[in-house]
Amino acid sequence: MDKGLMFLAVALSIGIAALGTGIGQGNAVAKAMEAIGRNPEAQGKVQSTLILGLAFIESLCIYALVISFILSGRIPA
Amino acid sequence: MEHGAVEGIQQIAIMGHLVDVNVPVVISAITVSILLVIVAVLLGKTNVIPTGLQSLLEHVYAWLEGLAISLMGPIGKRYVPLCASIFLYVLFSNWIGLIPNFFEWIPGAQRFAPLLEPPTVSANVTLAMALVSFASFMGLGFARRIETSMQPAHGHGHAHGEDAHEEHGEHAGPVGGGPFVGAVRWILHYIEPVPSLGKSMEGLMKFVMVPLLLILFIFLNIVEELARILSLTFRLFGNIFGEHQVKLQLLTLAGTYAVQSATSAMAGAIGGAVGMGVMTIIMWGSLLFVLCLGTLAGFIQAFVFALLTMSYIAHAVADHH
Repeated sequence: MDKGLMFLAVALSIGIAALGTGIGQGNAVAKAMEAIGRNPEAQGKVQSTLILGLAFIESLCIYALVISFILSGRIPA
Repeated sequence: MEHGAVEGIQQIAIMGHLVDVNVPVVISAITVSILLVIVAVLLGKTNVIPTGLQSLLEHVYAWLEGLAISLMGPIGKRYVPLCASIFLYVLFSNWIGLIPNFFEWIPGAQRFAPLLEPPTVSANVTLAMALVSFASFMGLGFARRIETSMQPAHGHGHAHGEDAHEEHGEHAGPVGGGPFVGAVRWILHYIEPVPSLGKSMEGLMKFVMVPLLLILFIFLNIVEELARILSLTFRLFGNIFGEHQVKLQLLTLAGTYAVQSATSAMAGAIGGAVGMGVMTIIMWGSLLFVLCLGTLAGFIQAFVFALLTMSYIAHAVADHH
């Protein structure tokens, strides 16, 4: 079959996911920084909630990573 | 070392005999042994004024306890040991792969095979951890529901002393009724938003919509619980597996460039030898950077795993009104 297209699929699946996840995590971190700047005492609370949120956002990218690993394993040598 | 048919199982020659070794299980055992030895050594000489390693571990515990209390109030204290052990196990599993160890060059596959890879690069291990987490938050939620049903419906029940008084907190949910009512309450929380939605409807609308919503929300609630297993599994597996692959690729590249540099030098091509040598050094430098990143990522993933388990438990034991 067309090996080139499979390579493209591997790269695109993780690339597009990383794009979206990057934008999402950037937004989340920016807002959290703003919140800490406004109210430094809330740092601990903001931090743990932020990490929890980032974990959820990041899992989307991880799904794409798993897909791209599965795809790259299927490329015939 | 030949790769067997089953994933993770390798054949290793020990004293002339080929032995099937399930690598993740063996390395998990090593990880757990390290933790046990640390704790056993510390238990022998615990101090009221903690120093050194004991102080570090107590800080970790106090930090997780603070998180648990901020998530679910004073009752959170009882779930800290579980979350802390999950945290330490996952942390050490992630970090054990960062220890520089022996790598074996597999000529056929043109790649390096490490002897010591983190057990969490196997999806089986992370699935097992996710199932532990799932069983604990389901079980603890059910147990909590039974427990609140055993408490007297009125008053704070001084039988338990100060602790019980503290645990009731600000938002005591429905209590009393005995274990059977408690179990029914636990099952009923799977239809959660339907009763309040049904109240806002009237007449024929109510008779048509409520059964539909009931089916939809029971399905959604069950899928939500099951999706947690999947997301816990793949988050940890994907992160650690991805990082491990990057590490292996860099190492393979470094090895390849080093070999090319040596062959160029032997052929008398000084330029090529120097160029390939520089590439080797760059690869080793990147590897160092990736190892530093891996230390941080391993910590964060362990933390996220424990924190998510904690927040699922918090959701399961919360008193619904």
